[in-house]
Amino acid sequence: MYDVAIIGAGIVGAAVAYTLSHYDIKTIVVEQHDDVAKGTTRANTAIIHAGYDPKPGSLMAKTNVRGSILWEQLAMTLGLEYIKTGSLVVARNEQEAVTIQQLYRNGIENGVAELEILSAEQTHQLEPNLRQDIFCSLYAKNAAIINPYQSCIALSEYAARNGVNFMFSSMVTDISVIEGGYYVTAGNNLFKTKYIVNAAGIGAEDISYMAGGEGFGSYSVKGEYYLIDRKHGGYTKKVVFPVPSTSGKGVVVAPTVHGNLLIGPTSDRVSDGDNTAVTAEGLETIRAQASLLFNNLPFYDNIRNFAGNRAYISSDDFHLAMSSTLPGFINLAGIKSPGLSSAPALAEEVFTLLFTDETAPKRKTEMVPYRYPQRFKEMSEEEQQEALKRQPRYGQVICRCETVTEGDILQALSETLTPLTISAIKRRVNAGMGRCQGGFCSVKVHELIARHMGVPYESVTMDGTNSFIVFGDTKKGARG
Amino acid sequence: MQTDLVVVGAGPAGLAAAIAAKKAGVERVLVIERDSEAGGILNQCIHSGFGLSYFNLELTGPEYATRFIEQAMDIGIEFLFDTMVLSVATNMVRALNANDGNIYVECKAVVLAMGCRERTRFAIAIPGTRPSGVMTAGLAQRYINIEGKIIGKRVIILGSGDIGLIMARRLTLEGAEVLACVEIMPYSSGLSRNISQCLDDFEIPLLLSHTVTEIHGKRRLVGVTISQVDENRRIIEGTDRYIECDTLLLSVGLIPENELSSDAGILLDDVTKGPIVNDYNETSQRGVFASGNVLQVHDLVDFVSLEAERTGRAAAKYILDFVSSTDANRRVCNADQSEQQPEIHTIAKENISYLLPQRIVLEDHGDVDIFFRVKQPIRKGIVVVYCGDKELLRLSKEYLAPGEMQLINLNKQDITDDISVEVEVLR
Repeated sequence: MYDVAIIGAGIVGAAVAYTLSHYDIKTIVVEQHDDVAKGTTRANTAIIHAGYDPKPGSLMAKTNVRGSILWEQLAMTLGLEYIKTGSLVVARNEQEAVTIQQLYRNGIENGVAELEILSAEQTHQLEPNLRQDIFCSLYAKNAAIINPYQSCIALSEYAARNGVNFMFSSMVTDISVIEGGYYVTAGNNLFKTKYIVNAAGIGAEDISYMAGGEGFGSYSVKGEYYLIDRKHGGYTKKVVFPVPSTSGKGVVVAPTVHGNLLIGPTSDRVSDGDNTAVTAEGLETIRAQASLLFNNLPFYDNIRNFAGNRAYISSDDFHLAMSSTLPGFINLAGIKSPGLSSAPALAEEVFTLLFTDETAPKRKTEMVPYRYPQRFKEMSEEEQQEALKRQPRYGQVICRCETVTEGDILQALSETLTPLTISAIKRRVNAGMGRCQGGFCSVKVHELIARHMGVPYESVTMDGTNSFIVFGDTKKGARG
Repeated sequence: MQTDLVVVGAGPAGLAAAIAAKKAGVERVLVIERDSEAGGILNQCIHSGFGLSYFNLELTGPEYATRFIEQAMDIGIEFLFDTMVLSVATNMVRALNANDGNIYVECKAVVLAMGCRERTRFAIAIPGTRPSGVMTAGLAQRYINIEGKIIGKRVIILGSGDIGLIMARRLTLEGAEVLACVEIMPYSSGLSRNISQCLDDFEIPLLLSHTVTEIHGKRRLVGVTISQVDENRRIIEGTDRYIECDTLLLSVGLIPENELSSDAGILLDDVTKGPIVNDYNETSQRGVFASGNVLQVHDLVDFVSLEAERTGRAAAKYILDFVSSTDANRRVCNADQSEQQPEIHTIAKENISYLLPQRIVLEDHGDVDIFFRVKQPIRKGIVVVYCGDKELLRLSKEYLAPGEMQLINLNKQDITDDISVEVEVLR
């Protein structure tokens, strides 16, 4: 019998697991995929928003502003890739400048610190690649960029090391109400839990219906992206937004924590929440939209296109509430942007919904510490020497584009929650994330996983179920 | 660690440059290779066709490499394997391996021979999903020929570059069904002998003026959409066709791997994507030379070897005449030192995509090889070489294709001004 079952191991589920791991309760996270961060968390703009966008008084405003403070602390304690770059919302004309004024007032009302309206000239000084004909901008010094999947992996790994159970490749197929809780069927497992936290992202409504709960008017909105070669990482220093419209925050041009340039997303309603195909029209829209603000965007050095879906509901605000019909069943629905920014604060809200002062569980006095393993490339020379003494394989470079070493990969494979796929390694240590997209290293990572973990070569997949890479031996057979 | 010449990469270019430098009198030559053996990409090219012009023999890739490796071993060239070069300067190379950790090699000159990498589906932004079963032709070649693994059963190949053509045949021989080789251009960039031996002989259709417009499948590839394109490479509506397949191989071009070069501040050419060099293949950084596919993507390894030998000899001359010489006035190479001699540039004109070298040094005598490629296939054309406004040379050509590198040899005595080359098309 669990106290809490969290459905979904995206950034929200992971943040809730992290929060609950500090208490003396039994928690389980159930995830349909083989890894954490495989839905919306995997493919988004990777921004910790300052919090001037959401409507004052909304849950979104409250958790965004609080979340951005919590992320800065989490990045320190967990050793996450996080850079406080600041952001600009750029107006192109007088009419858009009115929105800038509104956003500024919103921000002040939401309690966002360090906001400033800049003239065109001041804006150009910060971002010289912006077009000459811009009008003014809103500068938010506290906006930051982060690595979303690394953050989700680190929160989950911390929770796992502090007693939270994780159950992967286990899609929830049935939830039955029982006396004092629920029976949950997930994959081949059946377990009992007192509370359920539904953090299933775009699947949240399905989960609620499954238990006999309410709907939220859910739908999915797809966002497509360009990821540009690191050699253009300096193209913008800050996250640059156009003025928001009814369809969202618009096409953003932003640096990433790995030094790439990220451009997107589009915003298209899709009927299939699992549809993450990139489209010719979407890519065209990104190029056209981004070019309204910038000169000479280096689309020619594109290294990857991807798309992710975000969960929308009929309300503009996040939905976070105890189900009206199901006792102890908390729904998180419509966690679109700024869901990543808000996640740690949403987790705090979940805790206060789950427990009153009287029912609050005991806080653990000692935690198992965890920091995300530092990659060889990021170490100082002394740290590198230390690492090489401990594990000489840190000297063997596997991914040439991102300088990822065998030591980095062996470290990732020794973590609690790492699945044995090439993409899982990529998300953890960046091997294959560079300009050649695994053209050289994926075969080496493939071999390392098979050899080091003692699994058959054929069983290693690119990214889980059915994404197999090889069919078997050639006529001459495998080497060796 | 100390040496005279560091060669970065033990592929065909690195091997030939190292051997030539050593033979020209450089005492210590160190080749640093990231893989565990020498030979570079030749090791996975198990088909024959190598060495026809260099050895007058038809060899496989490993056989071709072995001839150079053995010679290198015989004459005492040193190797560091499983070692990644992290940064390069004229007199210092930083590298990393599992035995020694961080390594600092002091040297007198460097030859860059890192080769190239393949363009990916994202470099050409093919829409669709991102399943397994979509890979570059070279990666597929590695899986099949080195790892001994089958990577597909029903295969489409996008791009008719040589690696794609070779893989069409290789996959067919391994029992896969290669459904088509799809090429966006109205002609193939591959060698004609490969079209005939790898496609025609196996009745694999070559679909010219077609491209892959969508990739399907959430986990493993299940199919691709192909469409016809017009002369401006725009998709012609209504020509879409879905083809069920489990594998898409990409042979859509190679890019010289110059991250080390650009980190070192070496100037690169926008067209070749390789360093801007003089006729010694010396880069804008004195004492740093470049050769092979890191300099320009070649069609034939034989030419790589020849080019690298010239580079190795030039590096040797630089070390022996300049660095090791007590006479400070003796200098041979001056790619970025234009203050003493007028700098001769080479300029690509009508129908020419690039010329190499981009600079010519006039301090010595002898001849200079100028390589070029045409922008599109030309039937009956005249290659015209100018020195300033003066016509130096006219060469009549029956057929010129972008896939086949051309060579002009000039005598330096004839060069007094910038050299430009164009092709006049005869109608």
